[in-house]
Amino acid sequence: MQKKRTTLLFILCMVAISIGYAQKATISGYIEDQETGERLIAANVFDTKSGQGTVTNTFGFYSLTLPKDSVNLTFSYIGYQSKPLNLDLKKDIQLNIELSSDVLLQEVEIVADRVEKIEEETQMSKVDIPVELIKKIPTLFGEVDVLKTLQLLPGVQSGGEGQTGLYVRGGSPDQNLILLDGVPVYNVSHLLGIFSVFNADAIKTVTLTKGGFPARFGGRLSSVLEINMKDGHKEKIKGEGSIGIISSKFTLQGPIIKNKTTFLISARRTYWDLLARPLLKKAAMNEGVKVGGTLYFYDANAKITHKFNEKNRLFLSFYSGADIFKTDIEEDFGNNMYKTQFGVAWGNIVTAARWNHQFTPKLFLNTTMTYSNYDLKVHASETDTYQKDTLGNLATESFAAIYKSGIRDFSGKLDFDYIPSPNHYVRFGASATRHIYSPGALTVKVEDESFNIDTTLGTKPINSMEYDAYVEDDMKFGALKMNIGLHFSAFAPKDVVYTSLQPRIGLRYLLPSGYALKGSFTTMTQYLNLLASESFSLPSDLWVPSTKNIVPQQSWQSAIGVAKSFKDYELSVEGFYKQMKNVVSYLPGESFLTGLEVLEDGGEGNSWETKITQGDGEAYGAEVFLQKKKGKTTGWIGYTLSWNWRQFDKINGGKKFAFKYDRRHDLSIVVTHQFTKKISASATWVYGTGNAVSLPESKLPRAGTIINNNPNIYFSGDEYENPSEKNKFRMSNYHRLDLGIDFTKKKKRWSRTWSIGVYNAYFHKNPYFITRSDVRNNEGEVTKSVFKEVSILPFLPSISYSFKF
Amino acid sequence: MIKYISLIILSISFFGCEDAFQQVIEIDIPEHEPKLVSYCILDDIQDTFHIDVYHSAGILDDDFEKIEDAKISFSADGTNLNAAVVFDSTYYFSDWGGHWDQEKMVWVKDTLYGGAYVLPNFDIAKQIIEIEIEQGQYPKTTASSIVPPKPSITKIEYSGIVDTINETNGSVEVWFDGINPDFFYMVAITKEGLMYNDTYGETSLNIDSKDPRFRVHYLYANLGFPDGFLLFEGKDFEKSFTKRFGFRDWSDSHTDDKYFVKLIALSKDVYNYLNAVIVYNQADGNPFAEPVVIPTNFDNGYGIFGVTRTVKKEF
Repeated sequence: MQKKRTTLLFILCMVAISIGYAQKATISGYIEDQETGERLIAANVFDTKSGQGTVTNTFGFYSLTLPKDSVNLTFSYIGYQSKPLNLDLKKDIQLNIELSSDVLLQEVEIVADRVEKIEEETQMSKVDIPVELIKKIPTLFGEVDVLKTLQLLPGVQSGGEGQTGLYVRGGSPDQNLILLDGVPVYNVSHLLGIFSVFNADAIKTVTLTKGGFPARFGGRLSSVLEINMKDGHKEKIKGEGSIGIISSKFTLQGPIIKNKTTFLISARRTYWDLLARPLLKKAAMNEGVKVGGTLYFYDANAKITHKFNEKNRLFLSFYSGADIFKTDIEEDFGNNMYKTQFGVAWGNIVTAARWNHQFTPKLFLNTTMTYSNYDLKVHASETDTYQKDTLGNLATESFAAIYKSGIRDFSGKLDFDYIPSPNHYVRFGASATRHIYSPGALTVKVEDESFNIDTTLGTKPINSMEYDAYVEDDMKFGALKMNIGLHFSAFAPKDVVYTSLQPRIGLRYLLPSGYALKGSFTTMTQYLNLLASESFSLPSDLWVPSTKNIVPQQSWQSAIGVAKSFKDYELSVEGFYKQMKNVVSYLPGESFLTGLEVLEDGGEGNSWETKITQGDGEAYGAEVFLQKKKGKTTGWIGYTLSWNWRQFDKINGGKKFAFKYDRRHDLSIVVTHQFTKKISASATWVYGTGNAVSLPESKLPRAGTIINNNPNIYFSGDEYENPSEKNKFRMSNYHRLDLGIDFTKKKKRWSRTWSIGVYNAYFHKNPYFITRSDVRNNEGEVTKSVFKEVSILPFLPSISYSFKF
Repeated sequence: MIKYISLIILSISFFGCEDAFQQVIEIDIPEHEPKLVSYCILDDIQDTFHIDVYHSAGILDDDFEKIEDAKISFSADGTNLNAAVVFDSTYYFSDWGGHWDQEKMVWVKDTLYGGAYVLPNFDIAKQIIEIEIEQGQYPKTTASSIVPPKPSITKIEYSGIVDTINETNGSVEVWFDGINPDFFYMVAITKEGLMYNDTYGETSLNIDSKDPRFRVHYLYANLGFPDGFLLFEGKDFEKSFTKRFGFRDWSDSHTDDKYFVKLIALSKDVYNYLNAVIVYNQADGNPFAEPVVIPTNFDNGYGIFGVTRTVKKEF
């Protein structure tokens, strides 16, 4: 009886909802830039009559269900002229809107991409940085860099001087999910981390989420960085480019089929190698040896967008980038020819095919197929050719070693947006990814007349599958907004299957005073680990999976905050607490170079597993972010007070220690100002507590042969250094001022800009590493030993020329 | 514009001076309190025990020297034994002029220095041996070690060939007895022969195994002194172990060479110490490696004290 009543009640409710919806109709469509056709992300659609509204998704799609009545719609986007539209809503309609940019406004001001005010958003710990602002900020060598700009945000720290690594709320770089058009990018740096792989000319939007992750994201503990490439101009061929001290780049975009198919291609290459080649040749001739070599990196982005009809669109994205370093030395000693080669090459290839389909005015699907590949190859060889007898016969001895590592992903994903009413925005989806890891293998070849060795040391490729599914709903109940979701993931490496259910909650309550109180709780699971040296950021860092012995990393993070916008300013204050489990670290004495094993026939090495250990991490702190997003002067002040700890049973005697990038105070001030239409200037000042370091505190004499004269175990050298407790000491505090000025001139068909900048304007010797050295008197005698901080980037001026047509 | 670019290049060149990038900093490293340092591992088939005593130093201090006037004494299960003599800055417990009682494992006298130096009796497994080192300028330091039970090698099976270039390739399977799960072990394959004294010889011994317990392998190319060894925990041991090894020898003294298997029982402290030394040596000079701490079992001092028991069998 009870069951029958429940069933009846349920049917009545469904009927009531259906009747309710039967009295409503849905307006849906896309919002685009009128001139370029670029879809506008997070543009606002608002019905002033009902007070209901929505925003566009990543593909510019919106859906708003309203009562069948006359509606007074306003379509708006900051930097664009708002478009009002009154209509009599009688049935579902498709309405694609084109907004024209406010030309006068754009010429003199930088404006934010987003229209929704910070207090209106449920999502906290999220920052959008306008690409135009990123381009204005002064940078190292004048190279516009997305990741270096993100390092100026509160809660985000750089790994070291000039590095692009992101350390978000106590996390490490492998805990950042970096998505280029929805595809994970594993290695995001060029030139040992000095530059990032993202070419700002090809980028449309940059969004960083540090916490309060919605359920649609998964697989990393600390942050999600979404970078979307431009689609390409729909009507005209447009181009832009720049020539700088170390690189040049060029971007071309336009229609293939007008209003239907667009393209964008963009390329960048450094030319230090071209400049240095004549110098190297000259130096080599003086020494009587032949010296060759090269050092450069390149990026290439390409995208094709095709609109089949109003309900189907296709996006094909491609990125390829690599760093190449090679030396080639030939020495001729008459009867003996000696040849040495050394090279390092690493790079990414990222491809994505995305298909948008609108099933109904309320249901939108994005299907994504992706391929991502990261490879590192280190090559060294020596060849010695000599005369072996008096008859003049030649013999050759050679040695070659090749070290390789990398990761390849093949992935398929379905993402649905279902918007049943203005008070609910439901997202759900699923994905499957095949990871193929190659965590380091060394091939050694030795040949001479008497013997021949050809051996592979290291670990064979590891295959694994990762599955994800999620559902989330953005709900609105008056002043209360909630985003509640659940993310499920499963990972199947060899001999084990891991599963994880991760609840996500985000809350926002709007106080009558206009302040928004926000809170979030998220749990995350990560099946990938980056084995990285704390000492340096290297391409040698290895991506390895969770295995039977290395369990997945997990975290939970909760944050509370308050947010408010005042005229042109936005203020947010957040406190966070994050706990991480099973984070990885190399064991003492270990690195990617140690412990490679011989692969037996049919055997599968696992040497990297024996080199690492797992432990816990803890981070907590507060962030203040005051941002001015409109007007001639824009920028922000970001301050972070934080603590960041690690604990491993096998490191530091099991005692908790400060993470290397534990930074108590971190302050960034970013200002750009448009003086006239032709001149703009910018400045950034950063300050941070010095990095934590371990230093030797004492030294002991070495032991001689200690057991029985045999086996012969002894310390190398005369002494060994007794290190301090892990990261017990601090480097000097870091601070730096960068300045930049742009001179822009508009010609008839094109415009050009000269950009002049200074990195580290007052030449503060910011420490990069600490070394011990001896102080000598005038007679050359050692008087004492001291520690020295060594900086690598002094006052560095830069200049670049850019153009646009 | 060329003028500006030249100016920029000049600026960069100016700041390229090495000194411009460096600054001496004051890091508040706590003043180091020097302590006594000693490495002392007593083995039951050793014919001479010698112990060196040093002091530790602050990392920025001058080098250290041997300490010649320390007093070293042993006790076994609380009973004091005699102290050592000093000769050439080294503390000896020796059978010079005396004799070594293999059964009792005791030196009974030393006529050269006119004293009898009674050494710990290692016959009693799990006996606690303590060492105490004193010197007026430094804090007294003590350490203790448990005597491990003596294991045995019951059988060795070897097969191998010597090829035309004097390279020996073979495998050896060894059966042990008396492996105690509470203790730790080192197994070594050693070679002794005429080449032992040939300082111009070049040899290497490379051991590896599919058995994960013995994955670690070492390659030595020491002049005339080839050793290969592995450390394992008694609790992990099952029955026997098999090793493949290759031995390359360019000397002419091949026919007189003898191969031995050695099994050495260790305490946990010594095992941890040896592992740390191996890792330290591997990491030495590697800028990417994490710092290694060498453990000590000395209270108020540094170094290692332990008692080991060795069995050795030719094959």
